[in-house]
Amino acid sequence: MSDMDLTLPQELDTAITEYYATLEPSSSFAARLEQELRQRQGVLLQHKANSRFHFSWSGRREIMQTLRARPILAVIVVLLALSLLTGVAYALGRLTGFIPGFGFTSDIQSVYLLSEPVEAISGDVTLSVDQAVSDESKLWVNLTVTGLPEEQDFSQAFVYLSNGEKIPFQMSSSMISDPDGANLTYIFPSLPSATSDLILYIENLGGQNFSVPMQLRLAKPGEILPSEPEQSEQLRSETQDGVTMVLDHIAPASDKTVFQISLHFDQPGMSLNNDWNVFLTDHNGAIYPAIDITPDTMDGNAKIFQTSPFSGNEQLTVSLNVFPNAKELPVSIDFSMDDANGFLFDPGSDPAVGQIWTLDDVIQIGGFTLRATRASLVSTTELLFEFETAENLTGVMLYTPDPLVRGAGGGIPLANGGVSSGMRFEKIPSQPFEVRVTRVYYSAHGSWEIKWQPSAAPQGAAVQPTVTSAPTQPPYATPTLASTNPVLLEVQRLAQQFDAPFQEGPAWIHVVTERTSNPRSGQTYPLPYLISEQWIETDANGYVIRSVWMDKDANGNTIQLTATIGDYSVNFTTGDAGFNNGQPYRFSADILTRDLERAEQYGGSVTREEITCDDGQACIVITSVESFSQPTLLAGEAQAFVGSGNKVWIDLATGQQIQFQAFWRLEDGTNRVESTERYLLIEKVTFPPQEILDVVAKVIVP
Amino acid sequence: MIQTLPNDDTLVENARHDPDAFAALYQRYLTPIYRYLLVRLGNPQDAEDITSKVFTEALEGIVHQRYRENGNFAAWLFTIARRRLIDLYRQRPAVLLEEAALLDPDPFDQIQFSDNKTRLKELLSQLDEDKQELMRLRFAGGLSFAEIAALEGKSEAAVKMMTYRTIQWLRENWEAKNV
Repeated sequence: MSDMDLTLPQELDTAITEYYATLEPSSSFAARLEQELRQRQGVLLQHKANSRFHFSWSGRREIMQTLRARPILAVIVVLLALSLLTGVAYALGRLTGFIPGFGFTSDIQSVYLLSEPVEAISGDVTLSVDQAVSDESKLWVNLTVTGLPEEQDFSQAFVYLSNGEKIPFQMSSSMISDPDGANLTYIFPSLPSATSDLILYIENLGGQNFSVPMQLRLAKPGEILPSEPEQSEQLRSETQDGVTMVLDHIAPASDKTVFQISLHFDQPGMSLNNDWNVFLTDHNGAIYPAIDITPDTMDGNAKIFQTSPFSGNEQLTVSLNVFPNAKELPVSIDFSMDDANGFLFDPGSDPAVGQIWTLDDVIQIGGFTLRATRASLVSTTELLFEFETAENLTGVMLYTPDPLVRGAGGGIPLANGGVSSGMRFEKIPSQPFEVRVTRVYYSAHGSWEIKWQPSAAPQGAAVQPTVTSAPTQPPYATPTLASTNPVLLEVQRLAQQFDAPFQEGPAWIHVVTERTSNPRSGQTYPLPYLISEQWIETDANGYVIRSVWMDKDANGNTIQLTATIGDYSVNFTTGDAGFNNGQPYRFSADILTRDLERAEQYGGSVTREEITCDDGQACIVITSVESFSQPTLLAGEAQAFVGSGNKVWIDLATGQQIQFQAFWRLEDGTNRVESTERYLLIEKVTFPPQEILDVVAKVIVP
Repeated sequence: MIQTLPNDDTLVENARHDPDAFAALYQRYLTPIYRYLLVRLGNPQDAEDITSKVFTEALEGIVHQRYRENGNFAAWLFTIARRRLIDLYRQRPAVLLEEAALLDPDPFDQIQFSDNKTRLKELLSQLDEDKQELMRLRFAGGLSFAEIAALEGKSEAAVKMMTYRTIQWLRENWEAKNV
């Protein structure tokens, strides 16, 4: 094949190039999509991070997730239409209600539900339609699928009405809960009124096609949890910096209360750029659960929470919470439709990297005033613009209609109070081009609270919440090591030696660690220095029953506070709360054994070195390194990373793993330390300080 | 400082936690994907719409590890693009693949074509769909023979041979028309 002539005559080559390769995506589209993807990725990563448990050691995180956290669910939300459902329509005079999985419906009298579950089998794939809800806003279908192959293509879904009309789905989400099973949800446009017969057709689900006849019937009383009549005037926060929090719906039941909170913005194109939660407290300071049960298919401006039933005597406060500062909401306003907010920039005919242009261009946009003060060419393809502003802007997104543009960043605050924002080009234009502001970012300041006097739960049910919960799952069994690696076995033996007295209860275990880290440019969390303090209560068998975790900065300010009662956790800082579905476990300071197992499994290198620790004790240092398949050069780094590793110092006399270091291995063979964490204290005590008991006493377990 | 970007799979690995890494993939493939879709659809609005869906789905796929680093990221991305194209055609059942270009305004018709491009367009229209697709992937999508092979489920040698034959045919007919 090597002698094939794949060259073209010049004229034909030029024609092909011009035909196929001259059209470019518009710069505004490219910049807008990049911004949308960045926001989407932020949301996805936020979901993955699951901030409820903030174990700061990577090895510990892995172990503790195994022990305590919820099973990892892969949530894949596929948007097939830009017109997202807006949640719930509001209509006075009609009764709204809550349907589990579906959310709130705006008129419970016109809701149709699936008559009975339907199952279909094709090939190895079994599909079961478990739930379907049809209201005036949409048709929602929930399926369980088993027998899916590991790799599967994207599937299509339609419903066929009895008149032959074919309706494609608008949105789907899937939650993969076990290796061969998934829970799928499809959203279709609303059906004609009183539709009862339809066929669900799913194409290419695990390589199979399904045609499933479904029957719908009117919902019966008791199948939908009715909402309380709306009290819209009092159940909303004050509007501050353009943001209002509204308690849309409350649906009380004998065993729970479900409520929906939404965020409203006073300008079109305004949105919150972070995940959010709520705190639910009463006049005595008790913290009620606010477990997020929002369906995946709802948009991010409304959330549904489940809490305890109420007696009717509580005076509740719902507070909006955004990490890290609930009084500063990161918001942005989109101005991409406004094309009259730019200025003309002339880079000259031959700009050089490092060149700086002094600017004085004022932009008025949506009530904000920005003055472009400077531009600099930071690479052959990237320009950085700086702006002064009297407002509290935290960033701007730029774009230009120039066809050479390839992307733009959201910008960062500058030390002088201004903001900067970059634009990337295929090559820097040689002609003057227009620079436009397409989005501004700022912090909305305020405190968003709603006072809520709940009604008594129906049916006179007991509503006394409990403050303890007994373990309901079998205890976590420490896995038996299959390895015969002498280093791994030695580490495990030492860890067991150290852990043994702490696994005897009842007791409180007090653990203090300090962590220094080397954050990458632009990284805001974790802080370069953190002190973490844990108070862990164990039962007579040594199993953990309650714990409090605090992260503090160098000045002693609390950065995060988490409490866990039995299997239920609440993060006081983010407001996130829920059950962990974890098994009961005993305290362990061993963070290394699992890492070494993994290193062995993936062919990482492990070395053992005997040293004298700072306190004069005999120690060993275990270093494990996993190499990347390719060197990785990240933006802003001088050298590529070729691997990552951990280094752990172990006291040979006590068996304690006393210091843990995470590092990147660089191309030149040196290590770049990412973080170092060391134990300052591990002790067993009879009682914790009263302030710790006060924290756990505030937590009301659902 | 001018940086050397890592390969696709390294970027994919990093994109699971680093938005800049996904942005690098986006910047690398936005134009090829858009051009390929524009040639297939003949309509910039549809091309933008599908491009958005392709990258959104790719992002979700990367974050949730549906793509496994096997050196074929480009092929995976173009597979998504093809599926979304099929979705669009299904949503418009009256528009068959071959008919799409006739019914939708052709962007190329909005440009003052040179004679050479007009001639090329005529020649390309005489190729069967497989060869037209090969040309789109190669010249609009900018895919390597290996990437096209992965996408088409063929050997690299077979793709190279088919390309060679297509180009030979184009060259012969181009030169014949020049006579």
